[in-house]
Amino acid sequence: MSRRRLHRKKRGKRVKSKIVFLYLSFVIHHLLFVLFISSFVILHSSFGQDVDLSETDSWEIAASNQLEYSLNQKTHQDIFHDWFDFNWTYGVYNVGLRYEAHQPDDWGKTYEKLSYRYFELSPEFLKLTVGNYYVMFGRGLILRTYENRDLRYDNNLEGIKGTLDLDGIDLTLLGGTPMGKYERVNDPLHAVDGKIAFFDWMTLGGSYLRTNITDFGFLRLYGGNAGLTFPHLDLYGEYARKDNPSGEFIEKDGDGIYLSSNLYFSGFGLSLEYKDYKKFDFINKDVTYNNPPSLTKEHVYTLLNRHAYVLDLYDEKGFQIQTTSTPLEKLSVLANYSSTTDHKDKLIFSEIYGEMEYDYKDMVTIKGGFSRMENKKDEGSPYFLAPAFDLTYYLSEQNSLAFLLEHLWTNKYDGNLTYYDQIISLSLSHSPIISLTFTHERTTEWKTRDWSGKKSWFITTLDLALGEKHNLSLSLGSRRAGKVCSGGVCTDRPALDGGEIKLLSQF
Amino acid sequence: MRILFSKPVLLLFFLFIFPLSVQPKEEKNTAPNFVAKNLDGKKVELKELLGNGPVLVSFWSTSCKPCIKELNELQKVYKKYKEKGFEILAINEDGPRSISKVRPMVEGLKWEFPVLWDQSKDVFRKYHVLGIPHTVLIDKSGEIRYTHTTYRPGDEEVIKKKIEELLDEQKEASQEKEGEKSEK
Repeated sequence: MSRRRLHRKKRGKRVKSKIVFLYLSFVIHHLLFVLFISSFVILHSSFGQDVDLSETDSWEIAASNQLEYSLNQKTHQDIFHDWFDFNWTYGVYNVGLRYEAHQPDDWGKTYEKLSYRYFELSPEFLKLTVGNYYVMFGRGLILRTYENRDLRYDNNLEGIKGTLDLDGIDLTLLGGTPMGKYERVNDPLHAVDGKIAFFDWMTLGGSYLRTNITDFGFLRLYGGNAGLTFPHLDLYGEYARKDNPSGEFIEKDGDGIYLSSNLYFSGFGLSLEYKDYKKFDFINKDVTYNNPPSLTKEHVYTLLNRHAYVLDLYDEKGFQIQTTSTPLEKLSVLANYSSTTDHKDKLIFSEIYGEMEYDYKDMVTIKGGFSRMENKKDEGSPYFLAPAFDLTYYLSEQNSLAFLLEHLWTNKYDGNLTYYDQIISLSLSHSPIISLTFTHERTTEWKTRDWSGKKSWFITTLDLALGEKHNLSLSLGSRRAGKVCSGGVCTDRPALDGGEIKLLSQF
Repeated sequence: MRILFSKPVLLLFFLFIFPLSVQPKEEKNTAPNFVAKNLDGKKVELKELLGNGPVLVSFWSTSCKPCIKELNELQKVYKKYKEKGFEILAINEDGPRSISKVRPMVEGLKWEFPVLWDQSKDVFRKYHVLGIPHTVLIDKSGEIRYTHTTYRPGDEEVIKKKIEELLDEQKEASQEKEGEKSEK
């Protein structure tokens, strides 16, 4: 085929797909409009039939506030964060907003703004949201927007979302602009997601998303999923594709597969998952809008959490197997194994983790865990050995003493660099009012390289419940900087050397 | 105007003035109604469960160890009081990463109470959940009677006492009703 014909064919294809995109955008907008109108019609007819709305026509105001303030004694730098959420509900109407102030935020920017506001109408089986919203399609392969304040992560959409939830049929239509890392990105996306339950034991679903990214072009993601549920067994599979715009410097299209099976009986659960993601990252202005399962163990222990695996949707595949069981009434056991490789079968990450918890005569709870983790992506291709021990002793019904030991031994550059980190914490608590925790962390990493920083950290934290509505946490001392991870997404938490106040309030 | 949004002013306002000025309401604090799907995909509505007795709504995720500790303890409480109309709704906030581990964990730990999905966190937002575990105890009439964030060993004893109080109130109310009926 001649070059000119090929070019013409490609251009024709591009024009055709643009027409399809515009048409779909038009359809989604109209369907949203129809949903909006029909919700009003349903509302009107409900009033018309004198439906008893006595339980729903009272209005409710609720609010909450989260404040974090820290002061570094050496640098005298203080950091202030605040999130204030408010919502007003009247029957089927719901209005809400969030005010945020960061002075400064983790990137050094100082600002305050109304970051989230919405109007929601939810008569019967319809739900219509105008403003900001979060959404997840399937298991997040195509789209997942969410907020995680610990990670300072929020990629909400602003626009309109309509959800239809009938018996056996779920349908979501949306249009909106995404929240980038620093400000809203003016690249609207339109999407539709649906799921049908043919029987009690079978569901089929599909999603379609399109967006026009500035300086990149039209991008679309689409895929399908199926779920089967039997007694003691459920299976789920999802496949999605990402079509990039055609262009000389633009990479090829990508795809993603996620499969999971769960087997469970009373006292035993087994979960087996598989992933395969290739050139599948849906990114706009540094923010990823799809967040599929990363299939690695999510740790709550501080040291292990600092080395959690960061999901790479560009090139990875792997599996995870996990069992949870209670072989004895007071004994629970968890075992997890995960492995991730690239598409050349080169190992990227693997971990074997085991955990056991035993309740002795309702007086003592003993927990032990052990992890062997290998991460070829990190500097020095480290592997880690990490035991953890956790003991809670009940002094009385309401008073308890908890001891925690975390140890993480690191081996980098094939044994040329080894050191360990260790955390010991002791906590006294009087339920449900107060707890006092002393935490000490040390590292021997300083012995292995030039070290100008601290070698150990000590912090005292007082947690206080002020009535039922307020929880105050006061910390004094020093805390090491490090990664905080959740769901394959990580952020760097700055070090603390001074004082910190956290106050959670509900009104 | 700029001074209004300065650090000291905001700190003073959100740390002291605002929390102290907004006191817990004396009047009825109604629990927001919600509909969510259980692990079998069936819809569960709070309003429909309330007529039977007190409902405890507990917000949790598989990666939250205190939540699992608390729910293990609440399972014992559930076993003791479920015959009397007490119900627990465990609202799960797991994301795609750990969603498949929810059911094996629930079965593995032998939890008998309903576990509900809240993937878009609508219920979380309705209840203004700022941290988990977060527990809300609602009486038969739909009034929030107790809320609690975080878990300290022994919290289940406080919850147990609150549930017993509610069940006693319920019993007294039904006895009064029966008494009124027999008087008539």
